[in-house]
Amino acid sequence: MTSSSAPSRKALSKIATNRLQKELVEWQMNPPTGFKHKVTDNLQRWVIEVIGAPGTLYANDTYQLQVDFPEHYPMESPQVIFLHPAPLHPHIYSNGHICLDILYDSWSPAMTVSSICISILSMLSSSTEKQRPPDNDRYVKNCKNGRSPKETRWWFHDDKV
Amino acid sequence: MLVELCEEAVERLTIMNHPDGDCPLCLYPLFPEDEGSKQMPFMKLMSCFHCFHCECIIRWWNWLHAQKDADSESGDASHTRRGSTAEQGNSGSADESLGNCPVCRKIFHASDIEHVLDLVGTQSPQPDSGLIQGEEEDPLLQSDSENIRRERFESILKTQEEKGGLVQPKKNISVVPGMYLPPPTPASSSPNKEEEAGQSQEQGEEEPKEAESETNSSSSANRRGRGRGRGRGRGHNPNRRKQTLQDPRKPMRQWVQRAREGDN
Repeated sequence: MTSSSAPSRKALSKIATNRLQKELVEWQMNPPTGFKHKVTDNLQRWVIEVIGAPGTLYANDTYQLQVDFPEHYPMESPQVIFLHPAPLHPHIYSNGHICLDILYDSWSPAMTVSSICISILSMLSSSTEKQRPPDNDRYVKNCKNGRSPKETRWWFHDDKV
Repeated sequence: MLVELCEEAVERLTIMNHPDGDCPLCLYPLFPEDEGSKQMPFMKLMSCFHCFHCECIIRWWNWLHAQKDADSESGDASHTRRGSTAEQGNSGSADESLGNCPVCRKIFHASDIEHVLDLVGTQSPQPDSGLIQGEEEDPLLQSDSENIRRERFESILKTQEEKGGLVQPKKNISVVPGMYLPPPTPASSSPNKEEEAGQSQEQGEEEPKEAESETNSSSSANRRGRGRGRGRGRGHNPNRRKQTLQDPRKPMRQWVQRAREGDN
């Protein structure tokens, strides 16, 4: 498990801390279906277990999402990646990076961890084949040393999956 | 009884107007139900009616603009920040004045949130430059000449009030320089500030001349004011006063230009 690809980042701001605590409380009261938050004392990094939705290609598979929050969350988007092994999906690279616009350009501060999770599960569920993106090898080779997916210039072109 | 009913109704309606639920940005209630917790002002975007705490939406707005500024700076190093903001202010480009609702992404106009922009330490161009100007003018506003002018103005105002109001501008116009300037609060519009700057620069001997020029240029405004006021009677004094205080703005602007020409 690649747990220590921790980007050196600043501590959460006061506003970010307040908001995350609130999100955590709400998650505990009403977690999104198919997700389990792994309890840690680290508010800045959440590890979330994803269970593939029944009736989809990923039914009963479990994966782990790692969500890292920047200093100015929720103005800035969190960094969301799948921990190894990442699901086989045309928009998920083998290093765990996820090509999903709301995580980058289309981020809005009104989104929450919970809404991100639902988007990702929806993306998994609508996949029709378990396979890597066509440019997987090239991309992963360029992303050595635990580079953040937020530094990638993503190209969002496929809205079918 | 009826009054009580009405009051009750107004109160109920006010409470019903408070949006339920949480601010989508900080996730805390828009309108806290328990009196104990701190209440933050909230607002509604008029294009989509989504509600936010003023502070939250402004923080986000400023964040977006800070990002844009950073982008444009890194893109073109020859542009200073000041230059670029001035340009944005002038051209009013669509990007600058529009935003997307964080909830539904519907486009809203900057004027939607303008009234709350000052709530958070603001980085938007216009209020910022206004602040700087104000700081520059401050020493001027506290200078001796300015204080003298204020005292004079106040004494005039007092005598005017003692004599039963400000209804007879005819009598005073020719006598008093600066009587039509707004009350001695810090000037609200930049022309006024510049005008004051001009005045304190050419102090002393020049003053009669100024008075003359002001009288000349403002006489037309006064005539207008008087014409409007006729037939209203004394009961409308406050209104009259407002008009006469505002009318001379144009003459003052002319005055500024003259002062500048003098400097050159």
